[in-house]
Amino acid sequence: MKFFEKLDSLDVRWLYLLLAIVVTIPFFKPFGLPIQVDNMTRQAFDTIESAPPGSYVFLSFDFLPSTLTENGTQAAIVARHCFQRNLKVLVGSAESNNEGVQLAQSIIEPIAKEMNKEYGVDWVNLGFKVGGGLYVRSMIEDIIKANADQDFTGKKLSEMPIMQGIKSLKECEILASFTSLGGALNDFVAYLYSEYGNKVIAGITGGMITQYIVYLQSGQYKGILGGLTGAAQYEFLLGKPGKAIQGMDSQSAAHALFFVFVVLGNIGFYLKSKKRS
Amino acid sequence: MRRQLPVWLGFIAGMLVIIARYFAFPGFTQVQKTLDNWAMYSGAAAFLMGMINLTIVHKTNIQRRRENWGASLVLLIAMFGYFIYGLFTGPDDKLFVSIFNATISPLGSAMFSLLAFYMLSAAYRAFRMKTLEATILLAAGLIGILGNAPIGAAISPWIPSARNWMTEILNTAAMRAVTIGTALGAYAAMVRILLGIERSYLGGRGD
Amino acid sequence: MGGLPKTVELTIGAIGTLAVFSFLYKENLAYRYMEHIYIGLAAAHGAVLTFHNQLKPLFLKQIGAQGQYSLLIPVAMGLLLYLRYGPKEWVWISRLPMAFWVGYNAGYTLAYDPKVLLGQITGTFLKFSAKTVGESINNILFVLICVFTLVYFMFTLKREGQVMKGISAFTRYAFMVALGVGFSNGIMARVSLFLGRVQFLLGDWLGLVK
Repeated sequence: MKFFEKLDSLDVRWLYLLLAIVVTIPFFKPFGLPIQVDNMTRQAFDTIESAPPGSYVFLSFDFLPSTLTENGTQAAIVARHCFQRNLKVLVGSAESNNEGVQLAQSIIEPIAKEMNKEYGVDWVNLGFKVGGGLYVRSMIEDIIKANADQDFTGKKLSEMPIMQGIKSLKECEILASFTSLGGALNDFVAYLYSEYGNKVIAGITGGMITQYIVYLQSGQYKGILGGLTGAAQYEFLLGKPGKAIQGMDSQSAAHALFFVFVVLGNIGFYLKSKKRS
Repeated sequence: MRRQLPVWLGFIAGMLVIIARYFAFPGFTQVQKTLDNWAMYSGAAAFLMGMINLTIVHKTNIQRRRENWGASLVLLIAMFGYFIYGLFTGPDDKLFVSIFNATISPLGSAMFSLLAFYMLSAAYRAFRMKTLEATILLAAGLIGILGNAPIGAAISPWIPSARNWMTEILNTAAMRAVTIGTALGAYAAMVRILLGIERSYLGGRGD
Repeated sequence: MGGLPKTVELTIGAIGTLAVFSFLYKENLAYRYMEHIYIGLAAAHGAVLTFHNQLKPLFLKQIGAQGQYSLLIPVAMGLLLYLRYGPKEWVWISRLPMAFWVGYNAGYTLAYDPKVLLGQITGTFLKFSAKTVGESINNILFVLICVFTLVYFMFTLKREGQVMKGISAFTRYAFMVALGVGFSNGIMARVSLFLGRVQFLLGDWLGLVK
């Protein structure tokens, strides 16, 4: 009982320090716990795996740096898979996220370079546009016009080889949004999946899984990458371990800590109520 | 007129989309496409709103020497400095990108990650088996905590299976009902907006 | 202008990250300043990208070179929004673009979202006699939970009688499972964000972890 009383009166900052230590240790001493792939991630992987080479994919960077660890890692591994499959990658933000578009450049550029993919031929960053759903609608009409014939850096889209094979967003085989809000996903389902049958993949934060999994069950999404765990599973499926898999042992250790503290909290609560009664 | 005109404008704009969608008159569809562009560009023209709001708030902080007025001053210097530099160079300028990578990106990530710590203390202090409902919530939460990371499968293959079953069946079914309910609620709210019954979005000073 | 060397970029980022984490120990000036710097820079970044990616091509190409002068109308409409900072008697004019946007988006929601909702409803029509017994049980459970939750949230229905009380209890328990799963997902998300910062500090910055 004394232990629990002490634990209750403990300065909360000790808990914080404990969490920091628990998360840090596995980076130096990894446990190498095996990754198990769930249905959500496998569907996303299979959707990209089955896209015909040369077909177009729109990767929407709809996240702020706040969820970079989750969404950024997802976007990186999906982009790598697209390049590996020789898909043409259009990058932008259908949710009007300026920071997402800037992050896209720094995430995709090194991967494209590593895989010998040329800017303007294999991929392009369409840049930032205010509008959200209206931007999506405009791109369904005409991608070049909706982007005022200019990419992120001001180069002419109409002169790029990648834009010669596509006019409208509805010609994209797959649309993926990496998001912490979900607005673009709703637009993709409403304007593209429901109207033209395009495949939608959701790269969402862990906290969003609960709410957004309903669209996977109904077939409106063709796959979900849920949080860093989803990214790790995708890295595992692609056979390209990266930052997500590297972080999984820390994730496990932290979850174990949460588990222990929830259990301890309840034992303490039980003993206290018993003593009181 | 000051109250009626915005409501009528909203009503006409909304009805135009609805008519174009459900009746597909060629003329309406064309007008809708034009308005799509207009709505996009009018939004872009409001690009300075955020900066103006911040300037007003922080200028007042500085003038009245409120607590942390120095931070407000730094905010304004950083904001206008970065804005003016970016305006003349562009989003692909190396220094512009460097500043983004060195400040916006790591600071944004770090601020949000603080929540992990608060969640641990909340999980310890508030996640209690007080009632049957709370016990079910706790049990589902604990299985989820373990099943969401590789440690769950390492302990027992039953844990990720249980987590997946809870997520894909029980959670999805409950959330499906919530999704249907919120969608219907949203439609009701949109009809109220179009009919001018709901006007709180027009609030603000002056009539 | 040339960018900062990568190590300088990372070091500034690391100092900022540590300053933010110092908040966990105590509210302090370092955190306060970093928070303000972040807000200021983020606001400026949005404005710069809107200018270069959207407004510049609009004025130089579409209006200037191609002569699409009708696009000046939305620009003028957007500019009306700034009147909220003007004299009190002009403020109402700033509500016109707002009313247009809200009305237009309300129209879109009513015009396009019902199809998404229909997909959600038809997604609940599951076979009670599926390929396996397990699948059949899951499907029955799915439909029951969904229907009962809808009933539970119809606040006009009185919760009287054994049937309604049973439905209420069943729904509450199913909903608790959903909330528990949601809580564990929330933990997963926040932990990921923190471990990402640890990866940044130990790996990208200090190079201690490969």
